[in-house]
Amino acid sequence: MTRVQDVSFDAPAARVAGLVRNAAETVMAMWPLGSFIAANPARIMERKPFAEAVAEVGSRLGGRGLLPPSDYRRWAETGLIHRDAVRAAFDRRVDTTGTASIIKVGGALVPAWQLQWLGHFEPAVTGGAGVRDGSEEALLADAKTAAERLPRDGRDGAGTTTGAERDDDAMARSVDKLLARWCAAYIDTGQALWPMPYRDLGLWAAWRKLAAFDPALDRKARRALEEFIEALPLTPEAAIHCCLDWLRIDEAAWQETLERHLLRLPGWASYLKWRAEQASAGSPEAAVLSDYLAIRLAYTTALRRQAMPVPVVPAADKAGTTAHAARIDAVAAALAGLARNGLIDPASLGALSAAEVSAVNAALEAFTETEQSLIWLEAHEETYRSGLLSSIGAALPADDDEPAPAGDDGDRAFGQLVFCIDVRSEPFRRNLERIGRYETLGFAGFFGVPVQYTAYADATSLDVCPALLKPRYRVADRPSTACAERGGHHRHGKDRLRQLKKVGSGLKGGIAACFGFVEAVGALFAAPFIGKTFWPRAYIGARRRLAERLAPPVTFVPDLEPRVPAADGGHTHGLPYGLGQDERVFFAEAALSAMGLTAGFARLVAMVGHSGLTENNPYAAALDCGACGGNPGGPSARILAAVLNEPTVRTALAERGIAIPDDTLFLAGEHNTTTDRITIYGVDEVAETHREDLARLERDLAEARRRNCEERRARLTLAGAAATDARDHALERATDWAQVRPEWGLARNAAFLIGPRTMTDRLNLEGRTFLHSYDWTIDDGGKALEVILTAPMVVAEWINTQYYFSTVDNDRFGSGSKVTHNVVGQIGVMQGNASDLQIGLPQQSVMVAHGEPYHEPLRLMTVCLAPVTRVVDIIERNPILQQLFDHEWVALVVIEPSSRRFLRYRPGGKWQDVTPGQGEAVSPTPALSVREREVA
Amino acid sequence: MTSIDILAALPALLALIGALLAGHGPWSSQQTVVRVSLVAQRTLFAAAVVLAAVVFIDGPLSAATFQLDRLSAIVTVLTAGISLTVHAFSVRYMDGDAAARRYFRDIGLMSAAILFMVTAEDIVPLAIAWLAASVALASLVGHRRNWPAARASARRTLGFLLVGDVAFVAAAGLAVWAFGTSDVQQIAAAAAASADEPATIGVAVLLVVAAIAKSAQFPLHGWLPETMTAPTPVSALMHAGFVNAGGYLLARFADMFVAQPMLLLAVFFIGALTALIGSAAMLVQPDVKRALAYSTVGQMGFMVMQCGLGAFAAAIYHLVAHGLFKATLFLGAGSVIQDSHDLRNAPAARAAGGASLGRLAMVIGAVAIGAGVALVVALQSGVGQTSLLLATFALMAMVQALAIWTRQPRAAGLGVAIAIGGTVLGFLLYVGGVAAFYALLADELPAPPVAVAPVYWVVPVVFLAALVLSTVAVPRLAALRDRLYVRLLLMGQRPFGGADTFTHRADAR
Repeated sequence: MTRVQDVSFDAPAARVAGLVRNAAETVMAMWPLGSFIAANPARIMERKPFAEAVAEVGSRLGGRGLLPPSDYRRWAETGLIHRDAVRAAFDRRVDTTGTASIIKVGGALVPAWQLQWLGHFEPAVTGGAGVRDGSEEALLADAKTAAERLPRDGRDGAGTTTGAERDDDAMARSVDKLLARWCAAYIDTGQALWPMPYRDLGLWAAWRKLAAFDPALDRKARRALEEFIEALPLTPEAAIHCCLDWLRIDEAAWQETLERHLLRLPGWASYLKWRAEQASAGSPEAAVLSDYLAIRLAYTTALRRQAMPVPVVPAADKAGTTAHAARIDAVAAALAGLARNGLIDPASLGALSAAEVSAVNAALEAFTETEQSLIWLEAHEETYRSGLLSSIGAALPADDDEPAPAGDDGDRAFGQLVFCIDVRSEPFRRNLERIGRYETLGFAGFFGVPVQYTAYADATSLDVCPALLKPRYRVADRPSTACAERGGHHRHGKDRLRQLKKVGSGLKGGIAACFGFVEAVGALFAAPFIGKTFWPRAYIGARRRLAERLAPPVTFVPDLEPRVPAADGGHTHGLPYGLGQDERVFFAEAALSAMGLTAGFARLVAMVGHSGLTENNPYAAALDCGACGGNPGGPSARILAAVLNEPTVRTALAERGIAIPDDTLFLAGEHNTTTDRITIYGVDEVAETHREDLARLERDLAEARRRNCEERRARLTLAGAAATDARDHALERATDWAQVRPEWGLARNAAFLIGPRTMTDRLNLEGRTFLHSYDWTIDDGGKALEVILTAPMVVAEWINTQYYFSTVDNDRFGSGSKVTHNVVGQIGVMQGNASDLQIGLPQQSVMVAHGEPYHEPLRLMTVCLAPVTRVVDIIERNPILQQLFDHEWVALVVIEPSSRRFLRYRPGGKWQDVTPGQGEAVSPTPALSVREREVA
Repeated sequence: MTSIDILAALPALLALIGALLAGHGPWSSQQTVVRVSLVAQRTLFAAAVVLAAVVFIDGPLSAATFQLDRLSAIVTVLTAGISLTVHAFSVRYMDGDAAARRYFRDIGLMSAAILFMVTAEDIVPLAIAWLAASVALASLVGHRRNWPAARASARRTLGFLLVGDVAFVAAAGLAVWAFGTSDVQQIAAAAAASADEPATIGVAVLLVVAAIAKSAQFPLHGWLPETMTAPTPVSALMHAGFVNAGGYLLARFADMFVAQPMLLLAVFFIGALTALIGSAAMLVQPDVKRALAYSTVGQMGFMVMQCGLGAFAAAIYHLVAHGLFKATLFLGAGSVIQDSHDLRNAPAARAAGGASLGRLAMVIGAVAIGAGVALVVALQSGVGQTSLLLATFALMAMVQALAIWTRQPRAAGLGVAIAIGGTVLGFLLYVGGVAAFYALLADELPAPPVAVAPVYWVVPVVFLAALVLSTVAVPRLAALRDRLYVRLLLMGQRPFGGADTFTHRADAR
């Protein structure tokens, strides 16, 4: 019977599956929080130009696409946005020449745009409290009095929802609540000791078996729901088809209906999408979004057919009172501006009629908040970008030739350190470079080796590569030869500790055992309760020492020997163990040439990955390396360093033109971005020849740490701080379980710079830039640049847009305040008792306080030192880049090495000369087409 | 008010002053607000410790309105310590919160109300504090005023709690009318002497209702799991301070309840049922805070059950141990994802069915040893069957500990010896803790009855059955199991309208 049903629905079911797939485009797959991957929550909108897209975010995805103008005004008043930039952006977006709409005010004729400028922008950019003498005060007061004649309009307060709409909303709310609960139970990865029955059959199948037991239903309703479910097809797609039919939804509107249903709980839909993507084809989970939609539609249909009690309509809970006051302020500002600029007679303010005031208001309101914010955003970006470009322009080495690193020992750097491109590397690199003869480079923190990594003593493995890639090899740690014996102790101790935790969690959650357990050990909890709160550093330190006693620390090295995968229950996903000789040479060469380090090797070259340190933080992984899939970057650094130290690899590299001196030692380290400590791995096993160099390196790293901590402290105040040393201050944040903001992460990121360090090494970039090393002179055919633009830069765009949207609408695209977070299923957080799964970043990661952004939401600007023709070719080959640049989600500036001109890409492939110092940076010179000029 | 009154109520008074100064003092900087409330909390904790030392060395401080005996001194020190720690935690945790000032006022008021409740000797201030605690808690649950779900949760919480508060006020009025005194000890004594009077029974029943609501007991347990709109540290103070009030109230009126055996039997079964429901519901919750909330419901059930058994000192021990335990878990609720890494990477357990006979024998042997130890200790301590009944719960914990341990790889030989040693040590900790509390509170709380009626033994048997059923799958019971699962998963949630404690995306927060 099942069979017959399936067959009869086959063709429609396939169509529904297609619709679900299309509808799912509206949400971005969300990774579990354990490995935090940034994503643009409005990715689907990248198909449109940014300005259009953000205006539509509200209607399409629900939520804001831009900060409200009030935030920008506040920033403008503090000088963060320059007046000239605002005016330039205004002139660009508003027609200030036409005479289309003229308003009659106080006997004068004033163009609408003038009112808009004066009402919306001018007060903020003239510095508000600047010159405010008596006459100005009087003028403002008069203007305010006049503006208050504005009649209140009926738009405030009550909305115009119909009864049917309210019913729909009430039903949708009920369905939301039920779905959030079922989803939470279904996706749980270990919180509940009694997991949802039948999960392995898939969400839809499990729900069919369980839904009618809902205790909120009475006997009659339960029977009705049971019968209803019984009548539904067994496959989710067919059930969706049935329900859409029953609900009499026009076939043309099906996809839109499905999208609307997904966007009711975008967080849950996003996570289910990820689960579906991870599932192997054919497993029930691969269609989990269909399952989800089928349940939603089944509930909706059941509610409509009154197979379930019709929900009580919740009271409308909207307030709209501040709008009128804001209108009056804008009108008053416009009127005062008119009078101040002599456009109307100040004396006439008192005689303005209500109709005139209304006309002014109408002109101001014709200019939507979206339009205003777009101007503000462009001005904000321009302020930052022109500053950055002119400082780069001023700091570019005068000499045309890059100082070619020769084999000359007098020139040889003492050490070279390769950091991740992460914006947090920049301050540390700058501070280190100013201590000694260090060269630092920026490279994607997985160092180009896409592996699945298993820590020693761990059973699970991590995909330490960007989400764009899939791991291709499997590498596990093993104890170094010198530590072979202690390795066993380490594993044994770690196992014991974990087993103890397991017993503890089992007893805590035992239905009968929990009472006796609490009485036996409850009082012992006083130690962590008090210790972690009052002496976090000491407590965490003691805990670490205890753990090290049980599991003594061991030096690990990556086990790179290729092996046939052992039979281990399919955990390897068919990935080969280790790296063969050819792969090692390939990865070594690719990494070195992409980072532009092919000659002039120092005695010490360190690959430095990074990770964060934080206690009691569901968002811990958000502080780790994005290029490593939201995991620590140390393992990848160790793999590349180990490969580069192999004599056979070096011989092969020499044959390919990369001669590494015999006295060069590659090291691996991990930069703790929360405390700024850099741990170098395996220091005990470094050969005698390099001991002294290493000691010096460690001294300098310690000094760089001290300096960087001082710099960081200025940006991070600590409530109730006790520590006086900046390093302790940072450490206290990292170890404190009450700390909601251990560090600022990648907040304020705004630019992606591609070029040699000489382009930026004299600048203080304030930790706002991704720095990717690149030397165009050694990149034949632009292969390396193409990789940089299409991989690390795209990942940077994900991060940038995630910060952008988390800031502009923290409730919709971020995850709200941490203080009411509730971790669900060990994979994500909900707000309060239950809610949609939260996506994006918490309020504390992007704001100083509620409503006070710390992150400045600016679109990413990519600056690249390379021949423009090369960039043009790369853009032509890559639709992803065309989309990002043409739709202005990312701005691109190319510095032409030969002419040192700065060329800004404009939609449609035009290039605009924005060379700093060439007239006003913000007043656009006529666009030049590269093709026409035949730039060489 | 005498100076003894003031001394006994000193911690509560300091909390009140600190809260009012933090909330309404003539300063606006957040730093000052925080500093003021921390200073107040530090001082009151120090005062509580000093006063407790005085009470334990010198005997109780008793006056007409407030008092501090050993019982109230223990609970005062616990509450003050948890309140201080929660305050210190909040300083960093609430940094940048829009209404941080109101937060520090309200949480200060809540701790003041609990402390007044603990130290009140007169039933009128006790009633006021009882009510004030509910109001302060509701304000904290609705901390973010512009969040509809928070407002709904606050209303719901207050609604449930008011049932108990009304009962309490009625009990107080009835007691003053019937016994002509508002002194708690005198009321308890008078009630004990007139156990069969309808007024006495009325007072006792009303007080039980009040205790049930505050300690989230069935059928008034529904508010506790819906309070997660409160900032995390509030939950810590709520689960370690506020909910203890029910058990504490029963202990304060212990003399009266001992004279009402039928009522105590009902209390015992209410507690047992709540313990069962709470710990079963905890098992199915996919989110950490609701799991913790149901765990508290269960643990408070156990505490009330101990009161019903007449083992009041054991109940006080339980509330102290549970308070420290649960406050820690709540403050650390953000670490589940980091912690899950360790659990996931623990050496894989053996399949449940694969336990060898030898292991099974070892477990049984260990249990037998444990039971023997329990029996000997219980009989030697001379407290008899009450302790024996409670010890069965410790025994069940031991059994489960060993069962989990024997399923671990490399658990043979030395591992098993360590496990058995560890569990026995845990058991001794438990016995020692309970015995210490019996000894400390011997003068103030009635001794538990030596003999226990057979009907009480139903409860351990039911729990044993639940323990077995939770580890062994019985195919024939699958339908029942599914039904129970869904009931527990969706318990207390009202999908079809009602107070909307769910956060909808459309609601501005």
